[in-house]
Amino acid sequence: MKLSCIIVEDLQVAADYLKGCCEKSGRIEVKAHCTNVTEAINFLDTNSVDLIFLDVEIPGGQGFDVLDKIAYSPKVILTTSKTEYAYNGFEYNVTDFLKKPFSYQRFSDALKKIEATTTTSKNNDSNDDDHIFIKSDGKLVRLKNDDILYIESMGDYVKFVSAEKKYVALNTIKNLETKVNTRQFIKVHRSYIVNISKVDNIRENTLFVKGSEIPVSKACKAEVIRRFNII
Amino acid sequence: MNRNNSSTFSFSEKIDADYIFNMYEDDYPYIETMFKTVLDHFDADRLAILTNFQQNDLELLRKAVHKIKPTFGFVGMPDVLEKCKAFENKCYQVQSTKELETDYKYLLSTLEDAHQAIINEHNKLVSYNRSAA
Repeated sequence: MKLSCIIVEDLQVAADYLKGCCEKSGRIEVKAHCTNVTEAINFLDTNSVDLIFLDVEIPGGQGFDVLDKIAYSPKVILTTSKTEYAYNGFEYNVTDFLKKPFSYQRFSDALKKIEATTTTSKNNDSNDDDHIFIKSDGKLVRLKNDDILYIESMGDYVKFVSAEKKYVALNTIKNLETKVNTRQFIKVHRSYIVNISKVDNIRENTLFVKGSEIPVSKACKAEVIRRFNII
Repeated sequence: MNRNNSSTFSFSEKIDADYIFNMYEDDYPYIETMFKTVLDHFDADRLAILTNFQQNDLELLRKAVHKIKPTFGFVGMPDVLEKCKAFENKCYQVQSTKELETDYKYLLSTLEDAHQAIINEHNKLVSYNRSAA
């Protein structure tokens, strides 16, 4: 199956070249080409993609602003002519860095890295662990998946909410998204992951989980509808 | 060294043929398209440089040069790309565009020469591809 992507790039010739590379590979479908930050965020608010080719210096801000605003974590390949941005790239967990202009071979190598990490992530997804360990109050605490109602972001920390207790741990929703059992949990908002089996009802863009109201973001809505089997 | 022989297209000496081959191999219709795309946007990108210099907006001037810089890689002119990079770096070292007068004139002249070379090469590519069709 082809990976879906968007190209965020304000230089037309660079965007065209990238499109050409994607077509030539036969492994990537380009869903959109956005030339500025706002356009990219608007597109990603209502569409989900596997991969973003992201230029850094674009009108309306920096490419990293796009990553800050979207509610999920697609793979990212930075495409810029300035190597200084590579360091920031590490902080944003980007998979590779293509210095413009680049050869098709270099593009292809980057694509292999994406495919390798996608395979790894899919393998992780299939794990059936019924618990997770979290570091809270200086000790490792074992939490059964069945006991967790939802996980909420608190800046650099997250709160694991069970019916009995709340645990705060140093972590991020972005990181936990791939660490929790994805058959049992779903990210519904950039600040929330919920236990699917604990959702009592759904009203418009809100999930009700044992008395708590959890918002569903536009970007996550399609996946929520799919996973909750809403007919 | 240019990759020129009688059976393939001969790039002028201003274009690094190996650089071009590394990106597009010998797909000359595609190369023609890429040169055309560069030409279609060249004036607007250059105008951004002119405007921001005249308005003494150093950061926007740097951004405009940063934007046009990789263009020259796509048409096999890595030397021009490097000159743009040098100008972009100078923007970080000064307080006002006034301090860049000499570098700016050199940049404009470099861009003008490059523009003409791209036009010439594009015309040659059009003729070559027509005759090969």
